Amino acid sequence: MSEHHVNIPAPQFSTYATVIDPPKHVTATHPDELTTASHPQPTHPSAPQDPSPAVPSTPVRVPYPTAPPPIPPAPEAVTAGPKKMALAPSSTKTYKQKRTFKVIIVGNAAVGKTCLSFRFCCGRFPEHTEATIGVDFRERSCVIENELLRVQLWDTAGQERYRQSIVAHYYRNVNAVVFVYDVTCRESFNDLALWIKECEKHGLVGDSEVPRILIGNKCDVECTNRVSTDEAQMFADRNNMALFETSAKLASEADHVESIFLTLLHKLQQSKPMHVQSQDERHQKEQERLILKANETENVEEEGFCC
Amino acid sequence: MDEEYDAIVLGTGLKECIISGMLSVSGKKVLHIDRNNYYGGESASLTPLEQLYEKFHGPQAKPQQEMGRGRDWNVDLIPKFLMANGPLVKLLIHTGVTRYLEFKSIEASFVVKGGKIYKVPADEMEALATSLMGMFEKRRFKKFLVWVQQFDENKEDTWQGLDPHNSTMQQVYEKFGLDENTADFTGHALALYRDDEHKNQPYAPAVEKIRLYSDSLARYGKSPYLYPLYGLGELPQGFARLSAIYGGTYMLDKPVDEIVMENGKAIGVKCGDEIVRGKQIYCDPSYAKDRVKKTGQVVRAICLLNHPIPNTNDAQSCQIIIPQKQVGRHYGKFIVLEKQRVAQKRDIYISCCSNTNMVTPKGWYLAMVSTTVETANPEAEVLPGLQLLGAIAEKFIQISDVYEPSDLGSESQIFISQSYDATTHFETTCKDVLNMFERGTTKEFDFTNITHLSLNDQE
Repeated sequence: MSEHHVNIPAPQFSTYATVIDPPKHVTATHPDELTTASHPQPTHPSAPQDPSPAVPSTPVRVPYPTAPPPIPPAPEAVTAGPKKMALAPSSTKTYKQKRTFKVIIVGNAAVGKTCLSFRFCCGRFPEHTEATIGVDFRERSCVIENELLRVQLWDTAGQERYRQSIVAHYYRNVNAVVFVYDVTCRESFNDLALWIKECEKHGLVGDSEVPRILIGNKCDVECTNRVSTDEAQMFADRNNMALFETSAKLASEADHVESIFLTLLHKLQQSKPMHVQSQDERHQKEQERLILKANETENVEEEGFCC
Repeated sequence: MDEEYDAIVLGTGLKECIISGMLSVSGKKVLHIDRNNYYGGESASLTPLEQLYEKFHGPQAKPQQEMGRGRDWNVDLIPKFLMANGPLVKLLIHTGVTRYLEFKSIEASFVVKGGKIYKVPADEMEALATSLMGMFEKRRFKKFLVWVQQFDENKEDTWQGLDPHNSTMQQVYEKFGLDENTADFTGHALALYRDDEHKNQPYAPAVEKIRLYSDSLARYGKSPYLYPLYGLGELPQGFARLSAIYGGTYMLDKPVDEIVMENGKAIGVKCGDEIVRGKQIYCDPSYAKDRVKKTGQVVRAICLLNHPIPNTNDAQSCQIIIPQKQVGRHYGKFIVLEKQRVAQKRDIYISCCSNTNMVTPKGWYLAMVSTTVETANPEAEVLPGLQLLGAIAEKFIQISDVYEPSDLGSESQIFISQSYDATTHFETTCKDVLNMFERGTTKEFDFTNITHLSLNDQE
């Protein structure tokens, strides 16, 4: 009996790495992945996060265009009948890379957060919405520059009704924040400051790399005591946010909602993936960081209306 | 608040949040209240660090400068790990709550023998090299483990002649010729029993537990344990979101004065001037103090270190178990311990996490030493554990009472959870939650009610 043959099998030896090791990026929190995580597979963690982005290694980043990126009006969209979404991915193509972005929508209850995300992801206004039930996030895939981008618009799940009750993980691994207020509800506008504070408490500060935008919803509703655009614009400027006023309900505004989110998407698309970021890169990024400025937003709105 | 709820859940500890999620998913209208302004109750992870200091030392206490940014700390109040193949992980996966969480496996598990720290072997190489047992003992142990994998309570030919209904674990150890040290190691570091009572019980449950350990280990390799990034407090919040997605209403920072009764049955809760009506109440023991009994105490020492635990190969996260027998024997030179030597019947657990688990800033470590209180001097009972930690920058000792419900709720419709015990894993937690759910709904939980995992919007 040689020592060589003495072995203890039970603590079984396994060759694979921890499958649910923390993905730095939201990508791996996609539902399928963790289910697979329970059935360990050799080596590679989760599919979408590993294609180490084939971003051209030139140090100079393409600056965010001062004019919003042209949104190709999908010809199908013009024709009547079931509308095909712009930039929709085709099933046959293979993409240079795939990325998933987590975008959260915050704001007081009943300002129309759900309707906005529904409009963007499903292309229409939901018929019956009471308080949000049964939805974690809505998702839409778009293709920009041969890259498949998945946008997840996360819903508060109604936990904003009593402000402090939104769970901490909602604010984690976030790629962009959309603040929403109701133009006919002064309180929802005043409370934006509290929402910004809440986000900052969770590390989503204004001067970080996470873009933030502000949407005044329900601009179709007649109202005497409306939050004026000037006032909102001043607030947005102070907080380094782009302001948009729109309506999730109005069919004529549909393209506008679309363009707002696509603008955000373009911005995200040009951001570098968040993982593996060296100190230099971070520094560089810090310097190159560009913010949607007020004058851009006007352009965006025009663009939005005409396309 | 003038509506009536099917269930009002009080407290946002892990158990209450799982219950809340399960009830909402089952179509019940749930109101979930916590008196604190944060989620988690006893199973919270305190953040920032200032909050921990305030809780233990009052509002004036402040962390030292070199402890870094307070927000980088997430300090658990109860130390627990998840068994990779255990019931909580299954529940997390089936409910989709894994979507909100990220896990990392704990790097290593250690056991103390003769005053020294040994790594629990995680693979064959380590098993060959370990000095935990001798050569011949290893052979016998291997045989035993092979049998553990094959054992089936319903198949007599796998029993090795030992009827699982009336043979004890001690008899099993004898049958395989395992010595006392090996039995100790197996019972405490693999089956995770906290005392030796299991040796005199029918052996099937113990064998199942050893199997759970090896199955969990087989899953991710380094150790059988998983731990969520940002601390355990993430778990209740994950289930809270699940509940909210299915319509649960959340209210934090809402003091609850009492549970309102009518003819011996709960009809709601009183918060200040208002009464919220609910058909059933689910809560942790602190919300129904007159319906629980104290069954013991747990002592936990939260220690902030600026170095890894010595003799653990600089493990960034680990568990160390000090089996009861090892406690008195080798630390006898301490007078306090000498006196209690005979009394110490329970194991001491140490858990350690760090920056890799996103619970501390870089260079800092959080170690927690816990055990069941057996003497009048609980702090001394964790001393053998504290001595393994090296220099301790800051230490917080908490002694918590352990309660269990004296009212099971069939009449009153108040369903109370048990306090968290000293174990470092969640087996008992899941059992208690499922038990509460069945008591309250007289049904088992139906996983097919979970529909939100497909992304299609149903309008």
